[in-house]
Amino acid sequence: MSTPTPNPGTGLPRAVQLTGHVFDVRQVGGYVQLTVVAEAIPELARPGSFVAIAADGAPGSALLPRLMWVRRVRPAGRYGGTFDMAFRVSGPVTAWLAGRGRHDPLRLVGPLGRPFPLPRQPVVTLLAGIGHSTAPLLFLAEQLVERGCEVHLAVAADADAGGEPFGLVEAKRAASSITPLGVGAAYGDTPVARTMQAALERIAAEQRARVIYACGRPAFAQLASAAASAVGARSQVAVEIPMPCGTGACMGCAVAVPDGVDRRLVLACLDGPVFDGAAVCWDELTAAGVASAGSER
Amino acid sequence: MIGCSGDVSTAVAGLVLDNPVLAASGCWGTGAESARHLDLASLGAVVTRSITRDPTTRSSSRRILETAAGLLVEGGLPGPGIMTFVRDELPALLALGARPVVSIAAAGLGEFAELGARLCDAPGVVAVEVNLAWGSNDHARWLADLTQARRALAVVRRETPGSRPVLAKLPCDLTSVVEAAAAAVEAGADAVVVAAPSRALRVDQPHVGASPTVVAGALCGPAVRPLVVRAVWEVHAALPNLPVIGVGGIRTGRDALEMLAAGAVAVQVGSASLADPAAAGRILAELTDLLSEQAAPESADLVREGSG
Repeated sequence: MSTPTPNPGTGLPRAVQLTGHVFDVRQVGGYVQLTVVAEAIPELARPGSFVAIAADGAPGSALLPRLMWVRRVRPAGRYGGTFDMAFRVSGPVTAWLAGRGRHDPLRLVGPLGRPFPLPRQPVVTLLAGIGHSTAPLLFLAEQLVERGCEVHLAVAADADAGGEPFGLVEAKRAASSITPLGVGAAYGDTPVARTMQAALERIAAEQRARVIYACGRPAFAQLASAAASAVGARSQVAVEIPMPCGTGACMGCAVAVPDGVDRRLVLACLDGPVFDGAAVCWDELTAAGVASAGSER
Repeated sequence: MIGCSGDVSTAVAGLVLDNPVLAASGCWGTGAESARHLDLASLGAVVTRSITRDPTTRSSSRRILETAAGLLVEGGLPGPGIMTFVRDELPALLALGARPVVSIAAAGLGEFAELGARLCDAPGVVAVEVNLAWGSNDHARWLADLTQARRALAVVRRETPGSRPVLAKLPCDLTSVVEAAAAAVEAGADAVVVAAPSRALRVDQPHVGASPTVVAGALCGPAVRPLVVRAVWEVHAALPNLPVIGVGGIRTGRDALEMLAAGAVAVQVGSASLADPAAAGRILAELTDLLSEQAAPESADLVREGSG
């Protein structure tokens, strides 16, 4: 992956604030897929990047932006670069967003977050997602395949966000195998979580996966990390915790990570949302509830 | 001063600021994040998130929930502790050209004294803002009894160089904001910041008969702006020589202008920055335009020089 250009003087990966325009709105299964024309974001976004969409034009004048995973980018299209995002209508703001028409403006900040690191060598990978959180994994799968990696996908339906995994039809093009993991409502050490973890361990062992990539709420990300540890693979997990602003401003998404014998706080929106699964203090996180990216608040 | 040849400078207790728009505490990260979208050096000053003596190491220690017209902020103050702040964050902030007002919060008087002492020699700090609306497990701890608030401010004033203003940040859900402001001045505060978020609750009951879950936090955002305007107005009317900085739900230059017209010498922009990280810069530009449009003699003193 090319190193993203830092914003001058900040040392942080470049993120831009701009007005994009809706190019296309499509229904994909139970999801709405929005294609947006925007400068810079399609060039800068990587799998695991997300965008913050100002929602103050929505009914009720939402004060916090809505955060959406970047599903795909087309950097140099005929109409300028575009990116896609996918979400389920789950409240007034996502309904408003789904109702945007072609050419409607969207105020955006992005791309945000630390993306998934890609392996230097072509290796076997297992990608585990739940509900809408398969969106960034499909973006990742396509890039891994381009690099000669073998991609296996394991997907769960999300009992809480009420949904089948996103984009399974498209996933078939990139993935060597797709394994359903059932319906997850996984918080903590539940039978469902143990079954899912066992399934991930089995696939990873059978396919000799070297890296498990996952995206989901802390309980899901944790079980994927645990599966990786169990089979001696590495894990890179995008953790969906509530991120109020997405830009590092509000400090509302603190995540404890080990720091020598001690621990320190980093921000999911800035230092994550992708973390090495072995380097997260999961205990407090798995108690946290609602998903952030791609859902209503 | 304002209205004359585009000068929008203001002064807070002897501290001259290029303009009256400040970034409020807790709404712009540590600096570098916001500097991607906003020139921090262009603001009158920036108020850091409330720095505590010890680092916070608990995940999800702060939750922010959306309400109809405000944000309910629950819980802790994620931060690195004062030592790391002074060593790492402050120099980085100064390198960005920002003028930092350091906000401090503490659970006890001894902690306030330590915070004051640690900041005493820290270079570049233009003022200290004392967050009196925070205390362990009780948002109004310091203000439940004004004697305690007086003591806290006196301790910080004692540890802070005389040339550096001490600002007391007060909430407006008090029996009397004026009385609290007067107490703050008595204790040595040079200016007041009105208002810290007001105590608020969210009660979720999944269904009738279920035991409700309660989120106890503090409300900020446009919902509180009229309350803050009233509080600023009352404090300014009662204590006309005391510089008042208005903060609460400012989203436009016109909102800022209203706060100045109510008697504030400066404003802080907070929650607006969460959806629009460039908000403070935009509001400053809008305010500057409004002030130059209205540069009639009677509005020439909209931004007043506080003599406190």
